[in-house]
Amino acid sequence: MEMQVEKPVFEPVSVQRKSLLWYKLQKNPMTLVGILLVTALTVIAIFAPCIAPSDPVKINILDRLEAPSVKHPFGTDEVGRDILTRVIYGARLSLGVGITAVVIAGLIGSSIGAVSGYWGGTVDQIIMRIMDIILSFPTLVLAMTLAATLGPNLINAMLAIAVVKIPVYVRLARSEALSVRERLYVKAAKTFGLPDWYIIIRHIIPNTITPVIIQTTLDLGDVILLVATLGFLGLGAQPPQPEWGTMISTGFKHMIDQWWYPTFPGLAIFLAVVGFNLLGDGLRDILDPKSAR
Amino acid sequence: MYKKFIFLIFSMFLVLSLVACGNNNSATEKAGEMQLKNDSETLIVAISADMGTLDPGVSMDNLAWKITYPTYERLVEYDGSSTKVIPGLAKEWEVSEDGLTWTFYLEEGHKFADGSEVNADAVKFTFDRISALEKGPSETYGVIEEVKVIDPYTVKFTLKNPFPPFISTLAANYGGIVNPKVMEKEENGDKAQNYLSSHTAGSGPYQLAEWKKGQYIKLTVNPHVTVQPSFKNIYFKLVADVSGARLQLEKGEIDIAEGIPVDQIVELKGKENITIIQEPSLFVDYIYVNSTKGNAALKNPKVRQALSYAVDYSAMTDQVMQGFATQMKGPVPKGLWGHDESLHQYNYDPAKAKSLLQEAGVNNLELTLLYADRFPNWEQEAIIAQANLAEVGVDVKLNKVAYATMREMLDKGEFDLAMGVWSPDFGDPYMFMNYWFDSENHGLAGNRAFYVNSEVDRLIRQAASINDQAEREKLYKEAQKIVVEEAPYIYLYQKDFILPMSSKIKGFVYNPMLEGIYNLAEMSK
Amino acid sequence: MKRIIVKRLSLLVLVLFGVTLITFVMSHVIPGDPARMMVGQRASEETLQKVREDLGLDQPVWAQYLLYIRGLLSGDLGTSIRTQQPVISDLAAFFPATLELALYAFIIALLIGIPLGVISAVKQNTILDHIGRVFSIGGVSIPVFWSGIVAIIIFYAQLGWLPASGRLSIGLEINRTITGLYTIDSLLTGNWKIFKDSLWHLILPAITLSYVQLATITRQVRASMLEVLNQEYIRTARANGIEEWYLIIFYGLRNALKPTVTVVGLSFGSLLGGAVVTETIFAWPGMGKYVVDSIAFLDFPSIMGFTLIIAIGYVIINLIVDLLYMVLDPQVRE
Repeated sequence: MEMQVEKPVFEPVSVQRKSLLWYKLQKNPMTLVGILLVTALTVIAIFAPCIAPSDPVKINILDRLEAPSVKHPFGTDEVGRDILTRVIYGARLSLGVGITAVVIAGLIGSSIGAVSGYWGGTVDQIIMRIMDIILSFPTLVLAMTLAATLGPNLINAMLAIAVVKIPVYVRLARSEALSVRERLYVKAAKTFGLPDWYIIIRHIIPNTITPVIIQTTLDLGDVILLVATLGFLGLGAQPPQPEWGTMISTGFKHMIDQWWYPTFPGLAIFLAVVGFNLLGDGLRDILDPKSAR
Repeated sequence: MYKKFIFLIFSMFLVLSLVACGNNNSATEKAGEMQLKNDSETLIVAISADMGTLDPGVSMDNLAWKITYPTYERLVEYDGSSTKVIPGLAKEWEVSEDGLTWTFYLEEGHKFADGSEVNADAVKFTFDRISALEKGPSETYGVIEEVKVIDPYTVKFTLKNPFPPFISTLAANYGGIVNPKVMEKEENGDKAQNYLSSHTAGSGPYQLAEWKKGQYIKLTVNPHVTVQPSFKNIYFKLVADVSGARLQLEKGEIDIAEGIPVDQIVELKGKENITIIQEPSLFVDYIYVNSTKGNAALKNPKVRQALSYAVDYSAMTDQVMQGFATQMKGPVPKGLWGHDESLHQYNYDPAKAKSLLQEAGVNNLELTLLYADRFPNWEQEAIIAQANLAEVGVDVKLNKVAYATMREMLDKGEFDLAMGVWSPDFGDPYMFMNYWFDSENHGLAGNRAFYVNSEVDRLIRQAASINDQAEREKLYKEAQKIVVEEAPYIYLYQKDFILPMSSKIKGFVYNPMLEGIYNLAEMSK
Repeated sequence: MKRIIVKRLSLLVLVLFGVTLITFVMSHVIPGDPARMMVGQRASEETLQKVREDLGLDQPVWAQYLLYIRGLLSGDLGTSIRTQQPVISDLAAFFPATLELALYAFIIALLIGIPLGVISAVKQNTILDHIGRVFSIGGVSIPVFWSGIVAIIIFYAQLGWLPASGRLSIGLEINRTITGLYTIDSLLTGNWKIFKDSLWHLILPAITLSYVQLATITRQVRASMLEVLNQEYIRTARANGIEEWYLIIFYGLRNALKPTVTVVGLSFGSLLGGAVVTETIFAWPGMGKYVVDSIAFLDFPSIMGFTLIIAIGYVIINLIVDLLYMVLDPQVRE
């Protein structure tokens, strides 16, 4: 009975919320495009084995460098592998590596930032100077050097990218922490003698989540591009893994005569990165009213 | 503030209009300029990487030899396209009975680019300098005990032990005779290494005129050369992207394009204004099978033989290399004396490979295959080898590392299988047999399979210590029989030398000992 | 003003220390013996040992680091393993090319990015805005290594309009080097032919490189324009009948530029780094190409030299941004 009474009270609110979201989305169709692209990419990545027409590492040397046909819609590569299949499986790698790298960077970065901002003082100073040092390396060069040092493979590329991305999250979380620290309820919590770790987990971290999530989405596109660039420079995936950048790196040499080889992986990178950028922009519009767009 | 903005907008227009103006004029002027510049006295070669030091006493990098070889002269030279040596600076020479003393009689009249004469002192200076520098080339000449000036045109070399390939090493790049006057440029006792790293001081037909780092290297004619070459200006232009080099060659902007991959060569073949030079070379591609330090199963020759039978050689030669390669028959390539046509050649036979593995009692073999992205073919070949070996039940993990790391791992033997290439510095089977199989050369030095066989050691060491070529050939052939049977390497193929150049270029002669080096003085267009 | 300069300069020292330390530690973690790379593969152990001693590689790591720092203080960045030449002279040869490319790319990005951002903001959520945003999102989404080669194929191979590689046509030589920037040197010496030729060679790589930064700038300008245009004083001005274009440029853009300066400054820093890939594709003889080759060779003295230069550049740009910010916004001045 109670439920029935409450229902009319809650319904309009949720409808209102839904329609507000819908309204925002409608006003910004680009976000919808982003959502569609990212969803499609995710579906392709998860169901790669069901969608792909053949085996991504199966070579067939006699069919090398064949032009797109019904049998191979995207053509074949230099050892006769089906490019469509490799592009589809590539979605798994790019997405997997991208998300892992960003999540690692996000988690480590925002925790450091939250602690640093909350505590302030010398610890904060030292942490921020270290971040300054990392930031003054050109992103690509640091990632390249790290990847070359650790040994060129996908895991190391991922770690290198995570390290490069950490300072962004540290700064983001820190500035959020700095402002939250001054809020009344945090000061109150302190006077009640609650331990620092409790305040950080209970009050500081939750407040940093929204900007961090927005940043994560925006960074995903960037990271996918970075993975591909490292792959292109020979510091990414180990063959025969079907990574997009690595495919372009090899296909690049065939651009003039076998245009399809670098073109399709290039297109895949483009669509994936566009998707995450549009989604990130949209999320910022919707979740973060502060940044008027 | 307003003024600033007006200025900004104004300058925007200025730049835009400049760019736009450039548009109209340059297109027409460009074409005219090109014809003017790439004339019959100019040769433009696209190279794919910049080079390091040009000091012939230091450089072990044959990219630099493109520049140093035509700018220096040697006591002896290679004869046209053959691996035989003919008189160079030395008009004749003699060897003592015991093979320890070599006397060279210099031809008079050879002059360095500064006009001073090439004499016995310069020869002594060059070889003393190499040994004092203790860099890469000193290794090859470590056998020299003493260089003695007999008279201005006679010089005598005393060797520590008989070394038959000695005469061939003198024709190699590091045998280039250096003008002793470079010592005037010495800094802090570096024996002019710093100066020679970016200058030349030889008596060759050309001299280095300008080196624009990352852009081009320009050679001009040595003013004291006796026979005027046809090309007065030579540019080695750096075009890192091979597709770019190919497009420039098609347009006639450059005359020769290096490093074009075979797949693109096939496409270039039909073009009217382009000639493809194709010659058999001594450049070989093979796989090291780590016979002592790798996976324990590889110690068994049967397992190694199985690997040699598992690889699809025709996929490599016909597909990867598009037919520009021949499967090897034993370690010494065709075209070099000591090559044995009657040797056993492994063929692609997965069934036999499987039964050999069974005989050896090896199951579920897991191996690593090491390579780097130094040579573009390695990856394709590694992928093919991986698939081939999977067919016979061997699981191969590819391990791609930076080239510097790869070399370190090769040296320490930290691999099971590794991709490799080899090309000889001088025309003697010594370059293959003694480097690849002598158990004292384990690691990077040459025996990268870490192969040990005392009988082979005995045969090749004996072959390296006597002067009688027929006897040496016999010994080398005997050793080859063993090392083919025991299969410490998978002998893949010897590559053809392929070079696309403008049809206008005449007179280029390829010498398998001088890979990537041009006989500039004899070329014309 | 003074305080900020001092702060930035002290940061510079810290950054240089950190950068060298990190790179140095990395260089000693990896397998790959520089001495080996220098002497060639067939060298004996004694030769190797000799070269190691020459390079100081036989000493403990901390001693090598001290040695490096001591050299650094006297302007010596060590010797490149790959080119076997002093790193400082290598970098001096390559830096101007990178700077020139980055400068032009930066100018192009500003010239197109700012107007595009303004239009996008003024015509918010119209088709013009969407096109502008797609165009700029394309910039951050298309891999440079891909768009570069496509540009070469279209404008060089197919149409034959623009050169695809290098800074100057071969045979043309710049006889006097003043700044090392060919366009400026040729203007200073009044050599129009070289000026045109070098500008000509700049077009493709500069546009390709600028596209990435253009996107960042457009986004930032659009966002801050939107914020500014919604402010009270703009509405008041509009109500006062001030013409729209005047309003947008002198009331809107002027204020929107303040936050943009920071982003733009940082993007110039990443431009220098981003030149790495562009230079590889267009055979541009800059530091980027040099460092890619060095990394493949694990040539750490060169990598360190490069990173140092970029780090210094980064700090200097930050300083300029801070100063510029003060010029634009008098409130921050003290």
